[in-house]
Amino acid sequence: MNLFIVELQKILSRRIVWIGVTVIVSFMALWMWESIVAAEDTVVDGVRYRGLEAIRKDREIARAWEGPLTAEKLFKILDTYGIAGYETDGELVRREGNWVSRYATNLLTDYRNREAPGTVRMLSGEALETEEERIARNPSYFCYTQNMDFLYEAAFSMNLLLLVLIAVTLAPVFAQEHQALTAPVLLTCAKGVRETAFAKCAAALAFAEGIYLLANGTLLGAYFMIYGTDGLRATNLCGIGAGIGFASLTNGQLWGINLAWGAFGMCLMCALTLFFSAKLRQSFLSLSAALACLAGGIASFYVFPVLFGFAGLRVLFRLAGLCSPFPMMLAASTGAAAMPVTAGVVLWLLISCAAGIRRYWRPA
Amino acid sequence: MLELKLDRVTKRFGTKIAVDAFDHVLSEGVYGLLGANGAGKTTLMRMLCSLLSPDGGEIRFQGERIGEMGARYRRILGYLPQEFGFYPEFTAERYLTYLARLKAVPPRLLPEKLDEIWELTGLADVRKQKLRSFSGGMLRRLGIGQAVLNDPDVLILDEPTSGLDPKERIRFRNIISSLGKDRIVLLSTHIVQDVEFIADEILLLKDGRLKASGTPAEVMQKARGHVWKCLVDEGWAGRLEERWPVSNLKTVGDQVCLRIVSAEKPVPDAAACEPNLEDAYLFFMQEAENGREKQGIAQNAPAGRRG
Ligand SMILES: Nc1ncnc2c1ncn2[C@@H]1O[C@H](COP(=O)(O)OP(=O)(O)OP(=O)(O)O)[C@@H](O)[C@H]1O
Ligand SMILES: [Mg+2]
Repeated sequence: MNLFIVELQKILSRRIVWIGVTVIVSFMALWMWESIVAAEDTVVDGVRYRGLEAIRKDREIARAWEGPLTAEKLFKILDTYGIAGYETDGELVRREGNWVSRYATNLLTDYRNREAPGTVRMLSGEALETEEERIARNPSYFCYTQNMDFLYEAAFSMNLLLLVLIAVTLAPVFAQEHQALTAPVLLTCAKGVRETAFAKCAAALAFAEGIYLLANGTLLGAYFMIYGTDGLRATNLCGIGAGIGFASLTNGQLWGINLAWGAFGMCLMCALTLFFSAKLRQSFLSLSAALACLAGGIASFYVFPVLFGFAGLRVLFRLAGLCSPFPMMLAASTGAAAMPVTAGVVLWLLISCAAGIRRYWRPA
Repeated sequence: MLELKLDRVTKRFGTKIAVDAFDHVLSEGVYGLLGANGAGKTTLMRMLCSLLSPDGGEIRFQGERIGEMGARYRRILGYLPQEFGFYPEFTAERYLTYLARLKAVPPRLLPEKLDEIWELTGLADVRKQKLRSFSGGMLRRLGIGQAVLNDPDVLILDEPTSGLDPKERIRFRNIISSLGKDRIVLLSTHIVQDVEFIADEILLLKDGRLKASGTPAEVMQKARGHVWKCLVDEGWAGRLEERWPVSNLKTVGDQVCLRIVSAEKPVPDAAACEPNLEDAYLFFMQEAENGREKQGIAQNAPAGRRG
């Protein structure tokens, strides 16, 4: 009998795990369908397409324009399809054009000024020069990236939920053995101390990373199935990489870094929860402590940077915000530069947690 | 030859001294640890399992401190806690297989070992059932089973008979007798009959202190001349009960037959009788109380009259 498997089964036998996974997955699926796919529409040759068909049409058109992004290319797009303004259909205001023409319109016109729909104009004079200069300054690769920004946000929210699920599921790992009075027998077995602690940690980590891969794999898989993988080749199109020193990376590379970084975050959450579970010996207390750490991490992104504009302090709070799975997305100011420091601190925390678990899960 | 030596072992919880300078050497055989609720039995046993570390004194197995032996000590240890938790989703078989793995039982010996345990505990028929469906007595039997899974040299059973029906109790006694041949078995109980016939040595614990020890015969011997039997009417019986510990009380017609543990003759027509272990237990517990009272008096008395 494999101890790792037994511990994994103990974790998976908790009903909350499956309830949590089901809730998260169905929530994401519903959200994705309702607010994205169902809302897609595009106009090609005067015909309006909706949903999955609209996506297919847009992808086809975007393929033809794929390549380095230049102002000339954008002008050519507008020449070909016209400006994508607004059309009113009763109450509803919808964009004209297709994804490519909307993209060009967004960059080169005053489309935001919607006071008079149907009167979107090309930028001119100084405004146009500024925009052209900005495009030239940030060399990027253009391709179909519809809703990639949304994908980042969805993944971020989902991973926050996953962190909570991990805390909920793993808080009992050591504590439950004490609460259910099974610990005395385990702790008086030859292999009930080190091997058991090791098996528990390995199973917990496997669970955390497994569920992380599963959930993110499902989300990304769903996105790729719907929108295709073209968007991964684009650079700098979501404005995510640029601000933090990753301007030259493709979306695919950014996703790679983000996913690895997120896995690191899950690992930390797992370690913190297990540490509290071993130390506090009570599931509820351990859960509260782990969630408090998570809340601190999130607050360090949303609250502290606003309260303290000072950059040095911001770095400090970044370090407190290690639990967040997608720090790159939010921490535009410190970004890439802070990553090694952050990684160092996370490693130190992981080692401390492991030492703590060893210390608290053992006989007297 | 096994030797588990307790040397002035002491454990405090705050100001409460749960085990007070406990001195004893255990070798092969069955030891019955008798004591009232809160006497410190569980605390002592938890220290013997290295689940608690003593605040004072030390415990050595074969001359080596058990705290330092770590996994080597746990390898020869079997423990049934007083409050015994289980995994409701596990079947009995899975539970034992799991613990066998933790106790480093060689996998090739496992099937044979499990058969032995089913035989021992009488749980063969329910081995495939989930533990959530087990009754309290079945769980306790399973608990005893897991404790002996690794053929321990030191077997510590904290109230192993609580929750067992009379038939199981008897069965259990026989099991323990057979186990005690080549290992140290220490079992705690507050039911005297549980150890009367199987214990090679009785340890009487009161308020964390070892009050008496010896074979059941020796312990009973010490109470000789302190056990009386008398027949009185009901009014008297109440008064006598208030004054002395009564180990047995039986109504005969309109009179009451009392068995009284007392240093002096309680009533003129009381007859001395042979003490049994229960009488001896009461005798020592009583003696401890008297001793404390006397000590209290001595402390309050003027200095000149002391000692
Ligand atoms: N963890 C603890 N914290 C504080 N006091 C404790 C603790 N464990 C035991 N005690 C105290 O130590 C004393 C001895 O307790 P112990 O459980 O060893 O008694 P026991 O002989 O096993 O009693 P019982 O027959 O009821 O099981 C009691 O007064 C108890 O209140
Ligand atoms: Mg007890």
